Amino acid sequence: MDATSTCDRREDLVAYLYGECEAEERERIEAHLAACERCAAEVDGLRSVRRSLAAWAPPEADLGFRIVSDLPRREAPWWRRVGSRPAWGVAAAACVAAAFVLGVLDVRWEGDGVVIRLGRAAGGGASAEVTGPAEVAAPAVPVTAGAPEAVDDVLMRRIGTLIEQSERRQQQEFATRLLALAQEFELQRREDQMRVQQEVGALADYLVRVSGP
Amino acid sequence: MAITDDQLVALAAGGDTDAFNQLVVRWERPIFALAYRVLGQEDDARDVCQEAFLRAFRSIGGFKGQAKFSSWLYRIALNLCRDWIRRERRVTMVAPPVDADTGPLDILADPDSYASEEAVMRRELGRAVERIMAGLPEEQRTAIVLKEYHGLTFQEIADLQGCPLSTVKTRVYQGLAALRGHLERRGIRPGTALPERRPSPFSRLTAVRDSE
Repeated sequence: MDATSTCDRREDLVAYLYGECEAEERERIEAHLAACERCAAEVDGLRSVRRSLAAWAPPEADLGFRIVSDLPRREAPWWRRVGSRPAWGVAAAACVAAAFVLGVLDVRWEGDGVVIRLGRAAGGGASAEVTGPAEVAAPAVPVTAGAPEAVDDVLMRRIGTLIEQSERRQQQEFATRLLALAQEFELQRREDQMRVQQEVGALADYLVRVSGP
Repeated sequence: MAITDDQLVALAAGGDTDAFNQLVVRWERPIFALAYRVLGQEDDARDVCQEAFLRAFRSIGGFKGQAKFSSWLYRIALNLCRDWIRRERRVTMVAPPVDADTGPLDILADPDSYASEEAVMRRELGRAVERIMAGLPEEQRTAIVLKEYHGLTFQEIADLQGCPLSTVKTRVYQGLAALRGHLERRGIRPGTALPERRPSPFSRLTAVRDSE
């Protein structure tokens, strides 16, 4: 490689300056510097700048950030919590409540959380369960469509099975949707909480800045 | 044997807050220094540093060890710095005019006459470097800071800045060349990092203090 191309390639000189080139490349550049005064002066100048840069130190700041978890949770009273929920979340809760009132749902507390049962009738009613955190229990659905002592017994039984299957599908679907809704609701709640925290932080920053000199 | 960053990251990802705080202790100084040199404001640098660790803490579960923890943290901090600069620029240009003061460094006018001459000169030089660096384009400044003060390889800087390797070298070269020009105009010639020494009335005093 001839001298001119080295003179033109400042990138190579920078790599050399910081000791980030292969041995072969380094030898080539050193040979060039011995011969080319201009590049030698350039490298000296850059070295001098690096020595000057060493004089710039950041201030001794008082840092000591620590992440604190397990903050004691202060729960607001329920009416306030309802007020701070996103509108659709409240609507979803209202749907569940309405279903409960209409007797479609059977909601009660069990060992590990809320159990929502579709179909309130205790005995033969079809039921789908939405249990606690994440599972959709497969509904055990006894046949409620009565088997008639009609002429076409086979046909009636078939119709009964179809109705039953259809009902079961709908209930499962409803249960799944309800569960998805609940999960989405929880995610949204966390996100909202985080956003509120961030906004409060930003507001505090702003106030400090505004009140400062 | 000291516990590695990777081990602490694994613990932190499992919900161990103390492990994460150990990472904070290890990296808060470098991250603050990085933010300070890029932003030039102590308060802003502290905010960015804190925010960088908060973000890292929130997303540590998603950090799969595809990079070094420090590179990941640098990336978060640099992104915050960039946002910060963009926001500040909308409000007002903060960087002071670089050529406002091109006279020689006023070393002996420092009121703190009990500090050693060497320390005073160093501090003055540091301030001069700070002012000139503040006037460089952000990409050049960041590349120089990462190279000079954090010892990253050119390739690591290229990854962080999202540009080709040769661009990083060019940025560093252009930044250093600009610094050199400004420093020379301030009386610091190449080959001598500091201006010529003048006999100091305090040199004896300094010698006595040093021997204590």
